[in-house]
Amino acid sequence: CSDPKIASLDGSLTPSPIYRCKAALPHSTLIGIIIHRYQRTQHHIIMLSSRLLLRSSSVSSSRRAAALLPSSSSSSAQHSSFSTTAQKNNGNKATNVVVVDGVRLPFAMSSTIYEDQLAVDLQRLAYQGLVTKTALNKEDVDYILSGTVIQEVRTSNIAREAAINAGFPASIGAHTVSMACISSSVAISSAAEKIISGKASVVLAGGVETFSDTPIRLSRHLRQKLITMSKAMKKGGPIGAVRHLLKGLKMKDISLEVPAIANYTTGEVMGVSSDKLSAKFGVSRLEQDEFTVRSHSMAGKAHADGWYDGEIVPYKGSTEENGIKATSTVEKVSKLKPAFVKPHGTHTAANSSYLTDGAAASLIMSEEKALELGFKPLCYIRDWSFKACDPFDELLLGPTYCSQEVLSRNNLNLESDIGVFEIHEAFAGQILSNLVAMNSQAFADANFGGKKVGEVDMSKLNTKGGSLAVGHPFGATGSRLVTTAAKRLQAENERFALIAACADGGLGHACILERYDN
Amino acid sequence: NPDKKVNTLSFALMREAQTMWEADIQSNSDIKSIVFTSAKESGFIAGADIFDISSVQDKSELVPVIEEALNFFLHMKAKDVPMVAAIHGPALGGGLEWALWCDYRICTDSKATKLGLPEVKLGLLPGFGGTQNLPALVGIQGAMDMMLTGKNILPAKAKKMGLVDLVVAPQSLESVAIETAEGLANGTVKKSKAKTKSLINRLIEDTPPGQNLMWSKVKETVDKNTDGNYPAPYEIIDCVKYGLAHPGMEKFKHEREGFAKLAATKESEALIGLFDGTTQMKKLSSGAEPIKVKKVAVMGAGLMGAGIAQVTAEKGYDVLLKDRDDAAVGRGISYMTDNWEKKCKRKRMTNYELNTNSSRVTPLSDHTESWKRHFAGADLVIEAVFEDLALKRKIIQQVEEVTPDHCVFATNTSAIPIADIAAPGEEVKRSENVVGMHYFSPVPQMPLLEIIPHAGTSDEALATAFAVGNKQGKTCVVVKDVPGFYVNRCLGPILSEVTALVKEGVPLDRLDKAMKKFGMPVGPITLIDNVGVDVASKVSNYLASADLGVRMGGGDLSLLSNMVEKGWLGKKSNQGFFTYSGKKGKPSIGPEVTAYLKDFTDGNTSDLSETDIQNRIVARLVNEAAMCLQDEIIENPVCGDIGLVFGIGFAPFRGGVFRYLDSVGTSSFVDMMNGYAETKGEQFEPVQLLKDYAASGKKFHDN
Repeated sequence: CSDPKIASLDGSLTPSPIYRCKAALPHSTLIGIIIHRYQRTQHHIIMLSSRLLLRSSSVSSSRRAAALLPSSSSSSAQHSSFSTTAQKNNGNKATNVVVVDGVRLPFAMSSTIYEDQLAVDLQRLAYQGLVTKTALNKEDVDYILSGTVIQEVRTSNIAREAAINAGFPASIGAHTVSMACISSSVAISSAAEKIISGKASVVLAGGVETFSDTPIRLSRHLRQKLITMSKAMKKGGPIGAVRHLLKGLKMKDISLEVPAIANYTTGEVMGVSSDKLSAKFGVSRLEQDEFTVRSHSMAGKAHADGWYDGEIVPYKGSTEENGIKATSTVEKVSKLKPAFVKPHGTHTAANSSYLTDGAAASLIMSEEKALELGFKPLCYIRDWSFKACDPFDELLLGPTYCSQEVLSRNNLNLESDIGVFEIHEAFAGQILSNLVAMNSQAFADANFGGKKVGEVDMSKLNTKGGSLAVGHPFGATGSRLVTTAAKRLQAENERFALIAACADGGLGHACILERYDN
Repeated sequence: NPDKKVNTLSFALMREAQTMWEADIQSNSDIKSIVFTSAKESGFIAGADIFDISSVQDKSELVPVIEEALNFFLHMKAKDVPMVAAIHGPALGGGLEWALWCDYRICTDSKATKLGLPEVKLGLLPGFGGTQNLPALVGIQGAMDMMLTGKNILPAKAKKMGLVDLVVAPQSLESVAIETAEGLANGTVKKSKAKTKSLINRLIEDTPPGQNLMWSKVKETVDKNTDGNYPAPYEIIDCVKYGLAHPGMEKFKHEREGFAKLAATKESEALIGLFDGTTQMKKLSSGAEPIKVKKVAVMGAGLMGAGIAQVTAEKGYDVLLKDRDDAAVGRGISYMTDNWEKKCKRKRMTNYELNTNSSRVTPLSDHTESWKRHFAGADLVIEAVFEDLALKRKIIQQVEEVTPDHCVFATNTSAIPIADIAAPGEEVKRSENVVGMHYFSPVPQMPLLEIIPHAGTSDEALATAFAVGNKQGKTCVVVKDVPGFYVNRCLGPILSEVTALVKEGVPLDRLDKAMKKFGMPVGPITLIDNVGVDVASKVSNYLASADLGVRMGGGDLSLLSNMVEKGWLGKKSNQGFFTYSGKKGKPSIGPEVTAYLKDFTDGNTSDLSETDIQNRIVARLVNEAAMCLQDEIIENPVCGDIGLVFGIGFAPFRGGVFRYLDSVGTSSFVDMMNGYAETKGEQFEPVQLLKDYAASGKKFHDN
């Protein structure tokens, strides 16, 4: 594979033979090498017969690599050498995507402070808060995105309604994405993709969730009846309509469908999946409870230290996040009964994230535009992954797979290169299982050709609290993770951050951020 | 008149229409139906031209003119082809009356569309058949509500109450109107049937006992709202009642005679004068161009600041609302959103408008890192912080550092000279950009704004403050930079006189009752409680130590300052002169206050007549206002009248202090003052300007 002739043939984006030939070498690294080789042996390659094919493919891959990989000279040379070279020699300035800033409304237990608000209002306030925080001109925005999971029917494109009601110019396009708990991660990645592809340079990417206003529906049978009611009314008048309604109606139809946090395909409740996962990876109840208390006390401390000042948009003058129990103790937490698998399960109401209302928003720009508008970006977004795994077996193990993909693709070492970890805590058991999987040789042997993802240094993980404490409004968590990681990169003077999150459906997400040196 | 921005009915228009009718329509048998609509974007007809009415000296001459117009309507109807009114925008007063003569009314669902008979607000009645046609169309209760309040009816309501037959989108108004007119002519469209009244409404409107009950209820409401000071509502009631009893043509005669009678009243003259004055005051005398304002920063998110931010955001400006900390700004934001939510509930605002309004306001505190970046885009800064000279100057310094050079700095103060705030120095570099904008609390409700240039204020800065104030929906009075400016300066002597009257032992409720009878919205004692005893005490003491001299004398201001010490701050502390207990309980005078007053008056009691109370208070007010005119603190009597009517609620039907002088006669008023000066002291001594007007018999207003 190191032969440029063969490698160049691979550039046609049909990787299968090459992948097989060098299975241990991830595809993107391969591209990196191609480019590297390409520059050194340019003349040699151009003489090849498949010239046209080669040129088009290698140019596009060099762009991609440049966009995805560290390009600033301050990056550690070992990881960025190829992309930097590619950029220089190409004379073609790559579009770097930066995170300028991010905010969130205080996350709050559902049916508390946001009880009277619609999701669209929360998203509007988050967008508005971002404008307040950054002094961004609304006219400068090119596109607006929002991620959400449980939709209010009237605002199925919640991004648009929130944008319009937040006073953004009507001319700005907006759409909504949904990918379970990583919805706003998708929004941010989509923003980055828009920017890289040159379709936009300033994008607002947010996310929102409210569980205070979930759509509770009538039974399916009754819904069918009501939908066809007007037809029956036309045909048989009021009497016909009533007859239509009552015909074949059973007592059990007079019930309501309340949405559950369960997977559609497997029919399994998340908590049960996570409980099973913990059992599989041998994560004990005590470990989970300890981790939970850690999350709460760290979140409490971050609040007390003023870490979240500015990031949290005051709601009615307050930035309090009412789900954080800073004084909780393992002793107290361990008294709780299992919530999902009874009686022997390990997951309780405490070591599972609770139903949360909230919204967040991130301001994503091209580096060039950010500087032109006078902003000081927090970080680059370098790469991301949305791999998925089997929802029956390992529904919440996405973070492991995605981290592996994104790290190896960028040739980064989890242990030596990553200084900031922000990993979503759906359940203490889920995050701990992922940490075990990442550091398991057996798991690596089975899935990653023997190369472990690595051991996460707990002192670098979720040090400002995680979803267990802060809360987890499905659509908004992704944006919160990016903002916290980006701010930590700056504050802790680390180079790279790894973000990872699991989601329903066996989906996962991981993302690499690199500190921006202002 | 194609040159005018809006359509109004005038004598000239009526003749033109008549000519056109006779020439093209009357004898043209090809015309099967008629649509009346406006070619102007501004809409249908905004009303009758009030200059026409004012220009007729002998109001009884109006009777034949109206008769001619009415006959024209009857003449048109006599052609017996269907007439359709296609309404977009305002159809008010005579405009709506025109539509009422038609067979079918179609209006657009636009926000600009509003229908109403606001004549009562000018002390008049709808004279082109309105008092007769409207009740016939929408029922007596709906018609009385419209005519007695003069309120605008929006399209949805208009359809519901039967005022219009159809509501359409503006885009299809013309085509639908034409189709409907054709349909009416060929019988495919039927005239809307009269709304079937509910049983209860039939009982009320169509049975003698029901009617009696209704009329007594109506009169009761009118009595309560007008204190019997406004004749127009009674005349309107009379016309409707007369019409019910006289189905023939004489009801229209009765109506126009009523109109002429009302047009001749002082009240109507005063109200029209105010209306005119407000229109006049939309223009600034200097004629300088204001700078373009897009973003307004408001410093201080208290009641004042939040109120200013609210009216600014409502009019489409971007607003930066800044205070020291998030909690303070949060309270300001809540104040606004609460107000907007109330409007939403009353359907005066849509949820979308609420959201966009609130998103226009950017809450900032000292902790918002980006506040300077935000301020870099501000064109006007309005400061509403504590009354503290050093603080205000420090704020100017802060703001000047971060705002563009063109940014105008308006200071909202009631007690600090603008010149002191603007004095060039270490803190203030762009003194020419500093101007006073004195708002009245609560800002969203109070219609007046005093604009105070200091000697060095540039014309542009003044014009900018004026333009923004106007757009905020305020009537702006430009006044000189003197203590109290105009309104508070006039209020000072009133407060002084109130303390004097209390000291003499005049009972509090008697004081209030007398002034309410005079036409004030609330009595002076209630007023003090409402604005706050502390505020009243501060203002009066400030003015007593200022340059008013004897004109602030005669009272005992310790009445108020003692109360402040006791913590009796008025309504806000539930205890002022009156005790405010609970929601339902009427304010009452508690034993503590009685004891305090007994002590304050040394046990004196007085049974001064209502007239004496009124005269003494009004004399002090009039004297100060005249002094302001003499000293050119206000530009002219129109400013003076508007300032006091809108600023302290001086009886609108009297048209303001100067119109009041005109109507009672300055010379007799001066005589009365001289009398008080002899018995009560030199604070009643009429100022020179009053003496001059009294001697020459000159009037303050020409009409």
